[in-house]
Amino acid sequence: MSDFAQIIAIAKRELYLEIRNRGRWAGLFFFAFAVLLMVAFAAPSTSVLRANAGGVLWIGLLLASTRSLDQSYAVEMEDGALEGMVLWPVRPWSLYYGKALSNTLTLLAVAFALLPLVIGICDVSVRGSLSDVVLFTALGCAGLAAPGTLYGLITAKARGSSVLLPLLYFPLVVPVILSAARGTTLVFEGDPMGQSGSWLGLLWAFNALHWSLSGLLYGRIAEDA
Amino acid sequence: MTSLIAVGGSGAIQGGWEYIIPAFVLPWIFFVGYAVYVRRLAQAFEDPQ
Amino acid sequence: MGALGLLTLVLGQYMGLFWSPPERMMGDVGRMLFTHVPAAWISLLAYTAAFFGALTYLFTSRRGADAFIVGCIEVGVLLNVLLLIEGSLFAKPTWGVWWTWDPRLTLSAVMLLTFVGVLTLRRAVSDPDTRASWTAIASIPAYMTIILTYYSVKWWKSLHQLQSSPETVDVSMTLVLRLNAVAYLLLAIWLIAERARVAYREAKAEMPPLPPVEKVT
Repeated sequence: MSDFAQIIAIAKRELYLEIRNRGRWAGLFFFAFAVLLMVAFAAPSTSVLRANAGGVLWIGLLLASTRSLDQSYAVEMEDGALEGMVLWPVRPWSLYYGKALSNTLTLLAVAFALLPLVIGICDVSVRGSLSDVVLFTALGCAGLAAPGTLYGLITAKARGSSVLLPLLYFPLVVPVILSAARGTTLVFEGDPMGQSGSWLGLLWAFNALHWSLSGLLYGRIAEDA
Repeated sequence: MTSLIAVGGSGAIQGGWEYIIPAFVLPWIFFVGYAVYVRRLAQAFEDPQ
Repeated sequence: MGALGLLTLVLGQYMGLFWSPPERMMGDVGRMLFTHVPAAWISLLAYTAAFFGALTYLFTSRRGADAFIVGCIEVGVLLNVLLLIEGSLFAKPTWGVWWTWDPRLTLSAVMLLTFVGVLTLRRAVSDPDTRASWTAIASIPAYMTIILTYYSVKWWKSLHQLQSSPETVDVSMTLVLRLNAVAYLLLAIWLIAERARVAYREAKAEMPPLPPVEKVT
């Protein structure tokens, strides 16, 4: 089986697990929705919300991503299947890319469900193009999933508390959150000064770096303990 | 961050020593404090087994 | 080594406080930069050293490399905290606020969190080989994101900053700055070496003892 086919197969398996357990996806979505509401309640005024709608979306997604990443390893955690991963007849990086791909898609699904809510709650009128919004969302989710899948495996195996993943992973994805939030907000506003390009560039750079790096490092973790 | 551009002149910020003194003392505390911490760690190994 | 570092620090600070003239715009408060800037340089250096240590460990799996990484990250974190506090001490009299989202300060905060995270990870793992391996693995993306984080924060604040280069800095001040930097460097090297030594002894103690060699009769 070629590497590429392996990756697709693994991604399919992961997604199948998600879909089969529909409760998980719904849980993610409602969690993010709850975060959205909390932020809206905590915000001083609706104009602040409107001006920072991108940020609101990405806080919700960031918090949802930690849950989603934890969950993506939950199946392997049961019955010690994590250790068994070493025995799979697949290359470690195929494993990584398959999982990371499925994590990206899961986040993307949550993101697209959240978007209309964010637009509604923050009372945003979308002046930019929708395809730009999609692009930022896609790159942002990919940017969250890439390091997240790597660190997710580490923290799943470590006997640390559930706070370990956010602690390790949040500082790392600061560039993603900044770029995606700023970029999305700019797109909502119609990007009068054409700044969204640089944020996009950053997102591409981050993704390029982390998707390649994490793929290389993943095998080492799967081998250990 | 303003850069260290030049010397002398007036109209500069006056005083501020209540910030400057701690700023100079702090590195000592940090360096020596950490050295002590490492020494304690080392001593835990010198203990007879 | 440590004594040399401390001596240099005394000299550097003395010069910073008394010998160097007050800065034009900042007055005496500018002297604080002599303690703050070297902390930034050396903490970044320590993290860089940790990064190379991590690469070394991944390729060679030598325990010495892991001990080295521990020393570098701990000292890096130490200096990182120092630089953040110093930054606040500097910010209050100059800008009137304890904190500002200046790109470099913000980056320092993010860097601190990243590497504290790596240290916390170490505590969660009991097996020394796994711990070493994961520390190295976690350190690599952590380090590499520093550059991207720097740019993202810089663009976020869109502050146009004059990076001070030696040409724009008065000679008497460059000297003091460099002297303090050397002091910090010497101290950092000393502390890293000490810490690494302890970590290495720890690692050796954790290895199971070799079975006794049978005498051939």
